[in-house]
Amino acid sequence: MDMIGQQLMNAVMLGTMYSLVAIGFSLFFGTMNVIHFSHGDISMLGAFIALFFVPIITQYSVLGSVIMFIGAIVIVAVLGIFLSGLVIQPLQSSPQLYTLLATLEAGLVIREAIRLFYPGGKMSQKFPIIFPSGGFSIGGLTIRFDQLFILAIGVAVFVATVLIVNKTSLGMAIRAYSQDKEASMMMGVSESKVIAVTFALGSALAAIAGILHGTYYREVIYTMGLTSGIIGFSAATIGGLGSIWGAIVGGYLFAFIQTSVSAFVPGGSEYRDVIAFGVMILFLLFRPTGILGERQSERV
Amino acid sequence: MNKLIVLLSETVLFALLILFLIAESVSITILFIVAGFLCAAAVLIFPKKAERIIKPFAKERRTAIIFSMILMAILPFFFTTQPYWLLTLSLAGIYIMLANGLNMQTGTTGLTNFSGAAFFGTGAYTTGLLSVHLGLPGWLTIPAGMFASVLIGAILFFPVLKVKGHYLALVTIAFGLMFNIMLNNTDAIGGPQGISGVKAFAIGGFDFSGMWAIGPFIFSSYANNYWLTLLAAILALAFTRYIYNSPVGLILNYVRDDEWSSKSQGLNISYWKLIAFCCGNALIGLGGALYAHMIGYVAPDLFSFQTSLLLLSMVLLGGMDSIPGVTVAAFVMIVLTEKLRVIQDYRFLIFGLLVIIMIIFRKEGLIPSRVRPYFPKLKSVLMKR
Repeated sequence: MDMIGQQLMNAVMLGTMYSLVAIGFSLFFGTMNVIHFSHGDISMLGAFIALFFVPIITQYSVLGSVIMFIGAIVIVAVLGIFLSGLVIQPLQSSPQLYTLLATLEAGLVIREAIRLFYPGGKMSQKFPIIFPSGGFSIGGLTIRFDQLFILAIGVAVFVATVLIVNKTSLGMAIRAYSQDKEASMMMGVSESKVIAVTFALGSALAAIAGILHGTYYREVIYTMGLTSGIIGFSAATIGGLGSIWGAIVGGYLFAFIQTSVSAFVPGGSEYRDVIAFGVMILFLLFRPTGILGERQSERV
Repeated sequence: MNKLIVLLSETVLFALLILFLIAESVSITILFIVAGFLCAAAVLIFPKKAERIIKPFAKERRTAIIFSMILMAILPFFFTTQPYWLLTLSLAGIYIMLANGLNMQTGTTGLTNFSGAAFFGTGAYTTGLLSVHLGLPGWLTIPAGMFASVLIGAILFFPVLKVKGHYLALVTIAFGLMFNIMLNNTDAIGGPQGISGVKAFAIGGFDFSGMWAIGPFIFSSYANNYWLTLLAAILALAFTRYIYNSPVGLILNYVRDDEWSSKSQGLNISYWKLIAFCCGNALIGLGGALYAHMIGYVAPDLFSFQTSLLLLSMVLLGGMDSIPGVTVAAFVMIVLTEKLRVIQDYRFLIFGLLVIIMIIFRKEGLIPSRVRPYFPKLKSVLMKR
């Protein structure tokens, strides 16, 4: 019971981070019909930009952490808009393969830039502790405060995203644009605005995921973006690409598969990604629209 | 006249290549690179004038190919004192095979394969394991490596046939990551340390790691491996060219360009996709097998996603579906990084940026694939319109 509880908590933590990245994939696919393969590296970039705020944290502990969060999120959101203007919008009319390659190479450039130009970027970097340490136990299950904070932030962000997309006029514009591009533009929806907002929102979520990853594992490394990006896309695919709830469900499901493999299969912790990806491939083959159904299916 | 131009320009290019490789100072290397870039830019800006130099090559194709093969074959005679560069050239030859195999899948048939490094690794590991643990001779291990690549590719057959576009990209990327994790964590194949002590290729009692001499010229293992790689690369290129120019190549292009239309013409799409996927993987496996015998050591680091992306960059920079383009791109990228040790660490960054620029401004690559000249007369009529 004890171990199961801990593993469950672990899965919830991982799932929160995966879902945050997965929502970005779903948003971009839903509105612009593209897959932004450098999304995971954007998330990694968020964690590294947060590292620049370390002096502020040491000076004003709680306020500093808030500043770090907001600062990193805003910077990454702006970078996300910039990146979409550079590698995604110019390629809207060309074959899909080019967008894929351009975003993959953009991710490579981000990774390499961090590795080469961030001081000591080849090694993993220590991430500051921003949440209060300590914890409490319920019935033998120890819950750390930072786990609670991560979960709370994650849920708050999920709710905020769903509210933004479903209740605000901006969200309505995004939904209208994703349903029918031409008609929405005739109704006065500004295309550039929708694209910018989508990319800002998705990149901000990715940055939050990156920072949470850093606080949970206490360290960040330049390669973490590649895996988290592929996992995020896999999660969005399992859940059903294009749907925000699908991304969230997919993220948690992927994390549960991973943790149960490493917990219950002997010697499975190294192979947890292998099995989780295998499950994703099976999903793609036998239930191509994901759990909640994709907006439009083009994969078969 | 045409023949003379071809022979002369090939000799000049050959001499320049040797000078470039032998030159030791960085400034001369950079001078060469700048000159090369200017030439490439001139060709791109004035395509009509460049056509005048290229035309003799098209007319005297057989002479051009045979003469260049002779030149490449006698190349080790110039490197008896600096055999290291022969290793670089052999590596370039291996990457030419890899990039062309990938081009057959991604460029010609439109099967996005982001796990080229996994098949490269399969070839290399199979050859290495068979050579180290079973002591099998090279003429057996190399076909085994190719076969293993095709076989491992079979795991991906089903997804490749069923899944399209970015989902195929996702599946192949995930496959590449899975493959790398397996290599790193399976102790039976050396884990992160990989396999060392792979024996050099040997045939009929002649060991490729041995030295031998003709008169004053002493050839080391580098030269032996260079000839082996050259032979393999020539065979691989001949094979890809044969496939590309045969009706099969046309069918593969057709499948890539319009699946529904080709289906309605009675083509079995799955069958042709499998053919292209297997042929490509066999070439990639061949590259891996030769690599294992040449370097004598295989480790998981090389067979990572970075290498897959590097291979795709070669295809894209050279020109999708263009065999000469891909070959030139692979050669230039490998030789340049080996020659300019300074940029070694920055190569992925530089190539990544170059690919992005290329995708935005010149999608067809440096040497675009040409329209198939099945009806030369019809083509000239079409051009006039």
